[in-house]
Amino acid sequence: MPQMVWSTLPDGFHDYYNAQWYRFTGVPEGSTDGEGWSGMFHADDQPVAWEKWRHSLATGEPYEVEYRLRRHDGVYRWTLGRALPVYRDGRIVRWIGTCTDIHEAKQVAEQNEVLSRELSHRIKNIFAVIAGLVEMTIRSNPEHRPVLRGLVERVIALGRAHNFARPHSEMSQPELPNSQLYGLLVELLAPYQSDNGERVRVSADEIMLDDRGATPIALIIHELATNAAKYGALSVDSGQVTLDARTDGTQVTMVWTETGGPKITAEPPEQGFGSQLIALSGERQLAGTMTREWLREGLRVTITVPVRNLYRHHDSYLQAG
Amino acid sequence: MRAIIVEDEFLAAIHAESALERLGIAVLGMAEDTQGALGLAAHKPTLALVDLNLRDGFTGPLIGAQLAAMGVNVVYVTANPGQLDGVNTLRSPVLEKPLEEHKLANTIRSIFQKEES
Repeated sequence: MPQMVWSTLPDGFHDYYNAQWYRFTGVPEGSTDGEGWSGMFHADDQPVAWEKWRHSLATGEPYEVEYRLRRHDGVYRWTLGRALPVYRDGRIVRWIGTCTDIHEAKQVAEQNEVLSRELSHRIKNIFAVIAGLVEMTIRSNPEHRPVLRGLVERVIALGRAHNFARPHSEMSQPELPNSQLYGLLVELLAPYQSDNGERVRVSADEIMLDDRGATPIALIIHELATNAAKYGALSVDSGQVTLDARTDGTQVTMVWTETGGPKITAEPPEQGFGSQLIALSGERQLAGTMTREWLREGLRVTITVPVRNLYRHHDSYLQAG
Repeated sequence: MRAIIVEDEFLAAIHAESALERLGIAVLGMAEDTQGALGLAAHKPTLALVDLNLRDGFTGPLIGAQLAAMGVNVVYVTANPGQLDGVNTLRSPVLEKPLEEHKLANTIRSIFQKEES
């Protein structure tokens, strides 16, 4: 049997270990009975193990813990410990547990995490390099400055989106602010915010976001904000923008509303590159719909996209649920 | 304000230089390693943007500390702020790459305000 197997009395008193336990740990038979087991684990892991074990003993809930177990040669190896209660006539009569060596798998997971972080930093660096390349181009082609400056700003917006777009591993998954639409929207609009936080108001439901959604959302919001700063509400001190993102579980609806800017008397005629980029990102890439209303008090844009196009785990989540 | 840029990726340095110039800050020079950075310090800059991983290794934190000791306002610019944990003893401001101009402007403004008060 490759696994270590142990068993305890209902109160947690260890009274049995299989041969593999003794082979792995090299300790004399019987020496880890009672509470002696705990000394076999790394001192740093003992408090957690005890806490979980006591919890299981008190509640009857399954026991599961990752801890470092001392091998016969003195080396601590990551181990998965599990135990289940055995019932007879509705009462726990024993606990049966196992320990499985997961050291290699744990190391591979840690290496992957390090590698993934390193790659992420390099990608961020590349955005800076691309921005520099365009800046250099501007220096030798000053007549193209306005167009190329716009390009630099778009590249930087994509760089910001990357923090939200990077694929999450098991370990980085809980970094919640970095996987929610709200965080990305606030980040993208930060350059336009006033000190009192009243110029740009963002509100959003809890909407998950990954690399599928972050890039097109970043481009759309960047273009809307840039336009507002040039011609719309953000071009004057009195102007305000509100951005509200809501979901019904299937669709996400984002409403961008400008107020307090120059009064709009007619719909602007031309479709600039920025507008094309918004349309391509919103309608083509996110398969959403978009309406623009040129209201007298300011532009209002309503974008509706399927949730699954912002966050691909949504599909598997639904299937699992 | 007169700035130096310590960065071994010249295009990233160009980006930083353009951003500083748009903020009206003259750039005295760029350096790729410790020797270059300390050489530029002779020109008495008031501000230094310092990356962490440079041509001579992970020397940014020490360069930053040395420049700060000479009275230069140091701002770290890095793709990996986590690397500063425990080594940013003077608590110099940190900006993430790619550099965002509004954050750079805010950081520089707060340095100015501190100097004036």
